[in-house]
Amino acid sequence: MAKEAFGQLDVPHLQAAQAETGESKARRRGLFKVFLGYAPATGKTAAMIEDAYRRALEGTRVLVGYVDERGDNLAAQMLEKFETCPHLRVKGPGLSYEGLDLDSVLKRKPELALVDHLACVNPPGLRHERRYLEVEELLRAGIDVYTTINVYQIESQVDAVSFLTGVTVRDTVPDRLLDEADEIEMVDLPPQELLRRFQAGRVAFPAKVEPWMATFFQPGNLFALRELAMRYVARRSNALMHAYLVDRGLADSGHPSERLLVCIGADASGGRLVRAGRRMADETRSEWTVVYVETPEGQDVLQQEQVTQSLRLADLLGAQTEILTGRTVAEAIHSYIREHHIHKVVVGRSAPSGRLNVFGRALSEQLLRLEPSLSVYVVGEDTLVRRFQKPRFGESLSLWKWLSSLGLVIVPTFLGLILTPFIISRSANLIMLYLLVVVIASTFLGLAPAILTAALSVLAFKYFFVPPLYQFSGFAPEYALTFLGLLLIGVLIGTLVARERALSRSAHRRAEQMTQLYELSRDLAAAADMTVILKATVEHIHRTFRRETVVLLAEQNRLILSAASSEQTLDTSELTAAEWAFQQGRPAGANTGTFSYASFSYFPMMTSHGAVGVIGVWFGDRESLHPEQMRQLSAFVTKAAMAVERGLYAEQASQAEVLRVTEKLQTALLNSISHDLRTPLASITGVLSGLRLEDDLIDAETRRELVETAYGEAERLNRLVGNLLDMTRLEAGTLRLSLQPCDIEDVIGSALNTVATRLEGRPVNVEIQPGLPLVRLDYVLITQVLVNLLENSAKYSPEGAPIGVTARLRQERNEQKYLEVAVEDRGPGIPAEDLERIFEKFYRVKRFENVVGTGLGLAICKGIVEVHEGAIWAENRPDGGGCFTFILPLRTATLEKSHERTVQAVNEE
Amino acid sequence: MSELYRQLTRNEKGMNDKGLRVLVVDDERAIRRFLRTSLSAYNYVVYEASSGQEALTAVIAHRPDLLILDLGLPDMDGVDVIRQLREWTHLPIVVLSVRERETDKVSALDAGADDYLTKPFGISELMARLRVAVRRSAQLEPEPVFSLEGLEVDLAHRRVSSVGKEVQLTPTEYDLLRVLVLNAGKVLTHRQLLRQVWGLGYEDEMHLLRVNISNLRRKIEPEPNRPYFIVTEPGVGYRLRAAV
Repeated sequence: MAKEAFGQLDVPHLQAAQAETGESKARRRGLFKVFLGYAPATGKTAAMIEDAYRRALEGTRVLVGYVDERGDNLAAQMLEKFETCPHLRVKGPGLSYEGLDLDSVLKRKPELALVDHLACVNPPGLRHERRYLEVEELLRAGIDVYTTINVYQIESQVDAVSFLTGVTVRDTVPDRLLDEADEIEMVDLPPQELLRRFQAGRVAFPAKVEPWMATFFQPGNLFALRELAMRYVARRSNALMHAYLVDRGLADSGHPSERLLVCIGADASGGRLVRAGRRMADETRSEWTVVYVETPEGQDVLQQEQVTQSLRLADLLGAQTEILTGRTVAEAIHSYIREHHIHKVVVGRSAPSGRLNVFGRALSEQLLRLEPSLSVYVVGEDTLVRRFQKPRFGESLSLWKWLSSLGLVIVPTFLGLILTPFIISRSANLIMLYLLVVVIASTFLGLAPAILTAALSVLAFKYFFVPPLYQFSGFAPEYALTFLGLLLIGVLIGTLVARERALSRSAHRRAEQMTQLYELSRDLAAAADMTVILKATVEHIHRTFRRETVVLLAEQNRLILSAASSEQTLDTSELTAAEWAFQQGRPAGANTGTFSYASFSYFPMMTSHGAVGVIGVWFGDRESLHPEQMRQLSAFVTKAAMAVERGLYAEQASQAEVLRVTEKLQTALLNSISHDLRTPLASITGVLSGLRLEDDLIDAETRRELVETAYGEAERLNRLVGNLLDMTRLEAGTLRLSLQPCDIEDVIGSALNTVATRLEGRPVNVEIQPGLPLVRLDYVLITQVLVNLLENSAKYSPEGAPIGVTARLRQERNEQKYLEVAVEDRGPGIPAEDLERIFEKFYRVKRFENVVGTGLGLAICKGIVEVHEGAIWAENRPDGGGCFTFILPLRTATLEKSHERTVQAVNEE
Repeated sequence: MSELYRQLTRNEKGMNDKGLRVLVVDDERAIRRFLRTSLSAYNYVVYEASSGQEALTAVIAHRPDLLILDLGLPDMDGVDVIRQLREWTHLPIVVLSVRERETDKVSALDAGADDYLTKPFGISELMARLRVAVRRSAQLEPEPVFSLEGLEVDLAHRRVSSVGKEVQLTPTEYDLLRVLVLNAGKVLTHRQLLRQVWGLGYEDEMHLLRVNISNLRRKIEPEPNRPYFIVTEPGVGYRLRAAV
């Protein structure tokens, strides 16, 4: 209960923390009230309805989620006043289920929902396997929930119930739920009254009557259960009072270090120990930890499963769990309690299994010997569970090991027989040889073969070398000592080696886990963009757990499959589970109790801003992971979540950067346009106004000059508008290429014609490689590219300087052929730092600010060349001047076609 | 027509002859005003229309010798005006439009326009195009010998010479050149050229045209990579330069 007390104290902090971390997540958890009874028909449901009725009168919107209303009439009448959600009915072969329609309740968003029978088990096919999971989802949605439960359905009470009534209840509810309840109301009815009702036939059982239930209605059982329920509630109220006192400073807050340690073994008593631990922890209001010690002897699959179950139960009951490694159980526990300042330990009466307890001392004694101040609580043997333990020799034994030990004995025997004539003091030396093989056997084969080797050695030694030879009789007592010696050495070395080996194996496994986690962290840290992060995550999880892995990321509130260890398509049921895990921030899918029919388990990637996505791990085989592996997996998920969050931030940052650049571009555009449009307009307006007013004052020559100026400016304005239009079309992606087989010579000719006036007085050298094929291109657009390049060269090189245009075929290493066209000038060239940026929109080389231009011409060239799937770049000629080159791909098929047609045309002539 | 032709030849020499009637169709008042002023200065008689329907009636009413047509008219598309006129008249039509896309040019030319000029334009360029258009439409028979700055095409004897040297052409090249010469000064779209030289069904075989134009240029142009006689109208077609 202490756990709960602390929990309650923490609530304001928790809420504050939630409010800080994200408004979307700050949804209040609903109030949870449990009506606890000691047996069916004690009036829990009626009490619940009555309470709800009171709330309804206060103005609360109550919705009846699922209520089993058979009981008293008064309650049934009250129930009619409430809004009722139709029950979910599932009908199947041999199954008729009536229960809570969770989605419908969630949709109606009541303030308070009534949900009967917290411990109910749902039929397969529903989202949650258990009713309490449904209730938790309602609570998370901020809906208050009233529910009912009987004391024997609480997990920690199972042993007590089974002791008192002889019935072991399955389908229990984890204590965690009751711990988290805001209120628990005990609904009591004197057992005599209950029995009277029962005998009078006025007790209506819940829909599902289980056969054992009838045995409950015996006075002894009812009294016992009632006491159990009362105690449970008393403990809880005790805890609440303690919390209250602590809150007011009236009581010592207790020792947070007052921790209870429960040591479980690899056998069926684990569950019992865990539940006992839970009860003791409740009574002493202490935190508790459940540990399992892995000893060198190791465990088989069955035991592994037992441990896994016990630890999972411990998790459910709210314990911390841990797996320790040590030479012996006592040593490992001792060092743990030292480290954590623990004074109370719960152990089973039998020594935890698998341990070679040479000295036959119980674990409790060993612990007390190591730590005399310790309080050790011993929990008795569970009489109901028959324990079966097969004898173990540490290592798994195979036939070849036995045969090897036999072979090992043959070697010294054979050697001895050969060497007998040459060895004087033969017995001592031969013993040495046998000793050697025993050591070898114990080192390499294990304990049991070593013992066998020792026994066989003694027998062989006697038979072949001790007179009377070749018979076993006449065995002198001194050889008994020899045998004992050999045996002891074999056992000692065998044990030591086995221990070392197991220790090093578990150390190795731990090291491996650490390495795996470290490697993931390292890869994630190195990953810059999202795809790499996701790839690393998927790969590491897949490699470590050998299970298929998927990552789904949230995009506009929908989960998108973003990475997978192999080609995966997730059907709707998988996606539903993933969505749920994402929205609720809790695991869902296989092995989770929620959407258990999915073949993946989905773990939400939680960050401080809520879930960013989910990681799905395949558990279609329904096998579950060892708690330790589970912890490792959740560590992986956490790491991945952090990395994904970082990746998202980076993406957002880059988007912000793009926006910033766009804004800058727009500003540049406005500046550029306002400047470039106004300047020519100013000249034209000026000239025209001059011509209009001062008609007589201007002589013919000046007039002609003025008109020329205005005309030139008007042309410039026209070009600018044309450029802007071209750019807009390119940007909007509405440009349609009209690809035609074209003669590049013709294209160059057209371009030169277009810019003829601007190239006046310059020698233009055109070099075209003879025999160029026709190239499929957009004649007009490529002409535009050449015109822009030529204009650019003319602008940035001195008057009269030559301009060169070359066209040739260029073959890349990948066999792809390109048409390469270059325009070069003898100007000052392009500053190296501008070579790349020169093709950006509105970018103009700073050095030439006196040259007018919009910074659009080259951007248009780049745009056009790129829609042709070509490339364009600028470079400086080694002998001065700039050179602009663009390449256009020649598609071989079309090349052949045009060639073929050319032939046809020639034939025709 | 021969009267008109006489007038025209005189016109070219003296530019003072009155009488050529031109209908300007444009919905922009500023353009109409500018054209009226400019054309009047060249002694044209100018009529105006601001819509397609108005233009069609004005053609019947005023019987102009020449039509200057904008494509973007308020009531109908200029190309439709061309089509309707072409049903009954060979009146020379010069399109004057802001539409600069090649497809627009091609559709206007294919519909039967004689020439196409994009706004903004220079008045001297416009006058040259108008003159060519009028002369071509006035021409009853082609002159047997076409001659321009060193290029001579003798249609009667199928002889071609460039800069005084006789040039050997393949039959296709000669047919191509002949069609260009017969339409000297006028833009011929790719389709028009293909149909007239190769025949119906060859309109889309663009590469035939490209190859033959390229070969032709190599034979008749002094500088084949900067062609002078055969001018490419990017995306539209080709035009043989005409004596102005």
